[in-house]
Amino acid sequence: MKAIIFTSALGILAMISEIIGLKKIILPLLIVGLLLTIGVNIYTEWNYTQVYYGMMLADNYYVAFSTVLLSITVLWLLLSSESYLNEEYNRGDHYALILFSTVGGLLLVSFNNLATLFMGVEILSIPLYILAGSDKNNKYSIEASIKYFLLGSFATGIMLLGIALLYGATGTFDLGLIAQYNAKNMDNTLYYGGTLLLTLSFAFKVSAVPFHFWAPDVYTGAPTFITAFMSAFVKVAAFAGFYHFIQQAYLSIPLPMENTIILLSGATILVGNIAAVYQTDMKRILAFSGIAQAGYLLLLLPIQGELGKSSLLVYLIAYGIANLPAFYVLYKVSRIGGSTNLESFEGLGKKQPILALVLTLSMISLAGLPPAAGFFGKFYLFTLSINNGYLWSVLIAVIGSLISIYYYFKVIIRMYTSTESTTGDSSLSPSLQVYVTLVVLLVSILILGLFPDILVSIGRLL
Amino acid sequence: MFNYLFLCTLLFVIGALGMMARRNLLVMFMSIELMLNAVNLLLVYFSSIHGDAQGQVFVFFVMAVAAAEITIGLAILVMIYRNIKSIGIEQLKNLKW
Repeated sequence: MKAIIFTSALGILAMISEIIGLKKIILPLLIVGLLLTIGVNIYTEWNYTQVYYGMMLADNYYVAFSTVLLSITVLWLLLSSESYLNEEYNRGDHYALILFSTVGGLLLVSFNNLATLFMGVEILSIPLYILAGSDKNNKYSIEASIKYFLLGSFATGIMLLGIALLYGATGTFDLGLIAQYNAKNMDNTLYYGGTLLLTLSFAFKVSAVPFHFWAPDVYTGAPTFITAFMSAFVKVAAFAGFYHFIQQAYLSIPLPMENTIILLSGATILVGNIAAVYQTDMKRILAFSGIAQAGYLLLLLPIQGELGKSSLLVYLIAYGIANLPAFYVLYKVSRIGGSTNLESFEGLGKKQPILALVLTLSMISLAGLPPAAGFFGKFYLFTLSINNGYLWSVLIAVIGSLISIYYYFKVIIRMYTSTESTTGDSSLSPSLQVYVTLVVLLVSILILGLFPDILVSIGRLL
Repeated sequence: MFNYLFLCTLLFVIGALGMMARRNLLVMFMSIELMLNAVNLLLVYFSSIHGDAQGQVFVFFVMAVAAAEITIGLAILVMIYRNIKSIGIEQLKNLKW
């Protein structure tokens, strides 16, 4: 609750920063503010479960995932300080929109009522429609913006119809009461229609097949740093919200729901991985890799209890910290090479060893190989799913992971095998703050890959 | 009960089909509004049969969000018109695999 208020206040501060003359120091101010918010949030709300007016539930799950989300925003702000945002005259507005989107993400991990869920999804999405089109004179950017807007509004409509049907069946918006209703009445058409529609609209938000068509187009068209935010932050928020919804709305997951999710998961893993193999544009590869990762994560959703939560936490953190640096390197390369094609990565290992190292490690983590954090994310996920009896789905997921190694390593091979003999290009080297951020990210990828117990022991308390 | 449900679903489906079939952005925006308002009608109906005011309050939320969403949509529309001098979506096909 405090985190939501503080983040909103910081967003408003960013919005009026140009009027009150704080434009020069707004970025450090926001970063310090967000770090303070993280501290206050953990200090005052951990192990102190509270329900605010029946609308919001602030338990340990909320504290853990809001910390993850706020940290992603902080890291994004640090990395993006080199981008076009630095040149634009209205960067305060961009930061304000990012922070409002963060508030939406925080609402998504704490809702206890369908009204809060709806507001959270909308507050998360609406700033992103604007940000996707923030490169105003680029025809790709505006196209991405309108596609995201139209499909997002469509998904909102479907979500609202689902909420209305659930309300019709149960007579309440409160998730606790809905869960009790579900335990008593197993065969209500309105109720099942409502949950199905809600699940579909969530599947759209996390870009699960067959609702993934927007993702590659929007990711390619939007400015690279906005894509990074969508890929890292929005996916984490949407998944944490989806999991939260399924855990809150059911006392025990009914079989049709479980089967729907497992089916979605299998289709997403196969389509995402196979489509990624045929891409030649790095942004599209990352977009399809995001779709494939969503497929693995869907396997976790029907699993209840602390094991499911801690596995979700490990996987989402590993995914977030691997994605952000990959997009940063992509931005740097496209800035010099002029395009995001795979050819622009040729010889990067010689020209910029640091950037190449960063990209290599994040690709290894996304592929799920040791010693990176992604390995334990996948390891826990697969073990838990097998224990829960999803043997065939895990088989599909393993095949998908094997395919994914091909396209993740395609990039790495391009970087290190080049016939050109080029020397270092100093215009590509990152600034000091970005350098520090990259080191922090790389070290945390390695630490979480070598000592995953740190996170698992936190996850057991959720 | 069935009649109201049928009317609202019909309105919603008309909106959804409009989104898929029409190629003019303004008509697509109207289709979105139609979908959201069909849901509003359904919420008000359920609210009255349950004798519970929450559903009607939710309608206000939906209206406010729909207004915000359509404002953003119109802003994007203006941006598109400035770039390609048209509001049809036929010209917007640069991104595809």
